[in-house]
Amino acid sequence: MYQEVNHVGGGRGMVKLLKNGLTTFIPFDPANTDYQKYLAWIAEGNEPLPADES
Amino acid sequence: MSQINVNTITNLDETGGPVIVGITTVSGNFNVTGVSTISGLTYPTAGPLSNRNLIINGDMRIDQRNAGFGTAVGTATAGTYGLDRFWGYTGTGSVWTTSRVSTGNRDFPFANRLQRANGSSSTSPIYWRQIIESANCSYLAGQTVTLSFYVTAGADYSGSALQVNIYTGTASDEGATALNTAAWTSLATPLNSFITPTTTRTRYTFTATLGATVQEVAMGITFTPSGTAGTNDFIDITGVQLEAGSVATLFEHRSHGDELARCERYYQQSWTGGASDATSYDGDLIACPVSNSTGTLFGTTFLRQTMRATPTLTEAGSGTLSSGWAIVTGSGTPVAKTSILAAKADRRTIKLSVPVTGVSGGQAYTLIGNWTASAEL
Repeated sequence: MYQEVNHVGGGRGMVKLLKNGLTTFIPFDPANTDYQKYLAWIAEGNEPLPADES
Repeated sequence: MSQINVNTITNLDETGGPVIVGITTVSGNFNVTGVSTISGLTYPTAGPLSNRNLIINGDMRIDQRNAGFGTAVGTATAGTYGLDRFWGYTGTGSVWTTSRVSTGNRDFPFANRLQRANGSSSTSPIYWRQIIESANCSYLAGQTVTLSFYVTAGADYSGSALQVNIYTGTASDEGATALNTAAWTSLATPLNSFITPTTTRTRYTFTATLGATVQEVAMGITFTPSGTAGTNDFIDITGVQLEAGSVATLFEHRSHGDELARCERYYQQSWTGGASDATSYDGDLIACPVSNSTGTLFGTTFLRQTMRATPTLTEAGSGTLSSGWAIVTGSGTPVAKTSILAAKADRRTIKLSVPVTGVSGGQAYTLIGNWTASAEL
């Protein structure tokens, strides 16, 4: 499941994905193929979990 | 200047041509005919004389992820990367492994072994491919290209003929998942041939002409096993080369550093060795992150090569680092373990923020852990 990430200092540039016990950070870069999959997942009507409180 | 006007030059006993040495300049309309072989070399018919091979890691020497240890080929259409830049997928997981093996040969010391598990009765095919980044191959549009590689079959190879393909699309960098689901824009297969591998290492060559609007290119090998796998149900592939022109030239051996740098444009990790080596506090050291008043450390590390795209970052590790990263003091003693709260990256740097208790604002600490950065297609 994807989760939003809040950066210290504000702004968002990545989403987080927990997969196989490891945390993965996916950048909002249209050329990144993991981000392309995330966009496809969003297009299916899914929503990421909100960011953790920091 | 002296001048000699002759029609024919022979050697002293008139049995053949002379050996000519010391020529530094040949000018004018100098024609050489009747030469069928020059030291057995085959010269390109098109394209550059250097950097001809568009395949990265074609001699299988770079294996950042696994360092020679086999890894199971999965079912995900995104593919499972084994040796750098090459990935595979299959219909049945954990049946196939991909690994770098030593061949014992001086010309190609390594090969990519695709092996079915001993005793497996699965006959799911395996797909093995490499995609070339559009920035490196779009100039091939409308050209003839030649694909070549060496294959050796294991003694128990049970597979069908190898299906050899070149795939093309007319959009830019649509990636592995889209290729595996036949979703590349205007997907075409200008090469679709079959070979039967033997236990003798053999070089195979194929020529194809690409469409005039091609922007992305991939090569692939597919085969289907049969029956129950024996101990040596595998094929070894090496010396993969894709080049412009209609002939397969000698494989272009590049330096190890050159090949590694090319691979790191698509994938990097903080440690050397296989995945099981990311186990201790000798992981990547993020130089002196400074905590803020709320107990968050900030660290930046530089990537070794500018990557193709902003990379996907993954915390990596096992054993003592399995649950995250370590914060250490000047004595080298870990004082806390934690996970990364957030990360930022661009194509050249990774920036991490790590929450941790028990640190003091304004103090410098050392953050140690392991990461992977992937900008694969």
